Amino acid sequence: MQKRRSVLLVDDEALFLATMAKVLGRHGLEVLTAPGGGEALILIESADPDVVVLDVKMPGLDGLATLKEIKRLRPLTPVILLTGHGTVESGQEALRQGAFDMQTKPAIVAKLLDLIEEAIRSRGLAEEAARRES
Amino acid sequence: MIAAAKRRRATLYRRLLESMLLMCLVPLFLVGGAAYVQFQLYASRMVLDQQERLVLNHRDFIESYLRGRSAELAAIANQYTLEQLRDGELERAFAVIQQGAGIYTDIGMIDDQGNHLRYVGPYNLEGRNYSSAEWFQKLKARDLVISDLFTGYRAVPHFIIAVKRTTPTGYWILRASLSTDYFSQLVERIHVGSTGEAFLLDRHGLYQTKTLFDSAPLQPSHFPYLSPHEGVRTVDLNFRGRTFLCSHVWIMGDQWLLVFRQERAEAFAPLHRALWTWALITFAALIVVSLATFAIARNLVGFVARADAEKENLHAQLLASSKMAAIGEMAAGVAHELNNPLGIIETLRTWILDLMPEKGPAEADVPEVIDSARKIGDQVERCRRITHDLLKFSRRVESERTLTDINALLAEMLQMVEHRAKADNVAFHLEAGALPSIVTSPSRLQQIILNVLNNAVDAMEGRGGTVTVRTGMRGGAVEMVFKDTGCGIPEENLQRIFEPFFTTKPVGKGTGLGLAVCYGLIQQMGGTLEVQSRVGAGTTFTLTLPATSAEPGEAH
Repeated sequence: MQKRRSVLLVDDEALFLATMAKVLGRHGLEVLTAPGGGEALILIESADPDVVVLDVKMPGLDGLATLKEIKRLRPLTPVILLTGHGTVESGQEALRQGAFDMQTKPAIVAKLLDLIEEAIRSRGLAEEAARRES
Repeated sequence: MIAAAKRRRATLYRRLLESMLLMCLVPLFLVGGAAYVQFQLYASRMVLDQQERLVLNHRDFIESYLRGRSAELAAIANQYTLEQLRDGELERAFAVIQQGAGIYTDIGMIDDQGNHLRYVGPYNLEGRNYSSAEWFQKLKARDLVISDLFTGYRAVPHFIIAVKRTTPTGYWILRASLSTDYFSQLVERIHVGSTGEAFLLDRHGLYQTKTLFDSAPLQPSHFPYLSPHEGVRTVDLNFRGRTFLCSHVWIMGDQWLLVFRQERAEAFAPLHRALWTWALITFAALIVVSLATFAIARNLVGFVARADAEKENLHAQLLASSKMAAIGEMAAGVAHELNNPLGIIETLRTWILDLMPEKGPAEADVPEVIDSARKIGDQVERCRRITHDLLKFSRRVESERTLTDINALLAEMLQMVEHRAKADNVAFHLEAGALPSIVTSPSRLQQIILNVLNNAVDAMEGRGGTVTVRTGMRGGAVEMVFKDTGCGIPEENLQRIFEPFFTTKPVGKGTGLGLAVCYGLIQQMGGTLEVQSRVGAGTTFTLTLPATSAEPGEAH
């Protein structure tokens, strides 16, 4: 039986996490939430979500630092960044550090869903390729 | 600030005038004064010299004239014998020397006993005896006598020239009296101007010739300088209330004193005219120099005034651009902050749509929809508050001075900056001390505070920290202390922190004008802005404002 696809949401806004979790859940995703980078890393270790949606600007461990850690722990996990600036530099920096893609805040839910689908598909392909190699 | 500049320019104008006038007028007066004194001395000397030369020349002229007359008589006495003259030659000889000019009044011959043997002239003097006459006595020892003016037998003042002819048997005397009028004219002939005249005095100060103002011959002159002396002397004498310049010299040995006198005012009139001309030229130079000085000083100060105006203009532009930069930074932070509620709203909107398929929401989902709508309302309110804060700040652009509660202003500012700094995990604490409300420009104060707070947040470099703002009174001034736990400022940067365009932020992130402008603003407001910092420990900005907050020279 195929495992239910899971998403980890990381943001410091509790209400955003709760609402987005309900919306994504209704669209058939298993949703995990973390209020900060540290909590997110623990969940990634333990639960290994299929995809991570990460807010860039957070107190404590911020988005880019968290991204780096995720790439170290689980290089194949795609990470979608939510960024406030949407400037070229920070976008390039994020992609260079291995982000799957980025969404400008405020994120449009439909687009985010599309991105999540795409990210999970690409992860599946990547894992397939890795299996064949080994 | 404009009034202060005006006062400064007024002082500059006064100093320029003073120093330039001093520099021009002192040499002018020194040179002019020295020239004046020198010229006066020189010209006075010239006037005196001229008058003395005139007197000496005149003496020579009179002496040679008298010598000529004496020689004439001596020639007659030597040419004829006593008998020839007595028997008719005297008339002819007299006619020859008279030359029709009336030089002599009469002529006579006298024997060695003083008897007037023969006389040619208008008076009946034949047979008179002169043995007791002064001139007769003098002739015993000499061959020639020229007498002082005397009256004698004829009872009319006259001079005589007497020559002695010595014969083997004794001597006889040829005596002629000079025409007093003719001789007087001779002496008086050097009239100068309307008061300059020459006259003769005898040793007793009696007039020997006529003068313009006083006296007839033989009257006393009261001339005080009658002691014999060599050469010509010049003195000032008061005479009938006027001052005369008197040059006098003894002539004919020490027989007569030749005096030339001229009223001083007249003698020095040309000199005084020259001095007046000099004074006029000096005065004209003074006026020209003064006008030029005024013009130059005014031009210079005008130049400074234009420079001041340009500076003021530049300052205003700087102020405006730094204000814009501060607002821009603020707006960026606020815009970022707006994204969070907007993100929630968008998510809630999607959630509501998900709950409501075409046939309407399921009975069970209705409370969920209502709850979502209420949450949307909360988020909209949150957005409204953020935009409201921003507008409140940016609208307060004008720099009007009003009674301001510093603590309230700080609380408002902190709330606004918190929007921006929340994501950076920066906490703000306001420790508000008791403060009086002061009259100041809230928008300017806001600009300064915002700059200091922005710098504090930037100093955390995203690592989070605390900014503590403490207020209180210190020495009659309102004190605001902004203490952050940021990275601190190295010593070498600390000294340059208030310099314009000094920045440690990456290119495009900071203009380097913020603190420089703050420093200028706070000085204008009569306050101070100081900074203390230790690398790694944080930075403290201390802002003071006078509690009376009279901004000196503030004229905006």
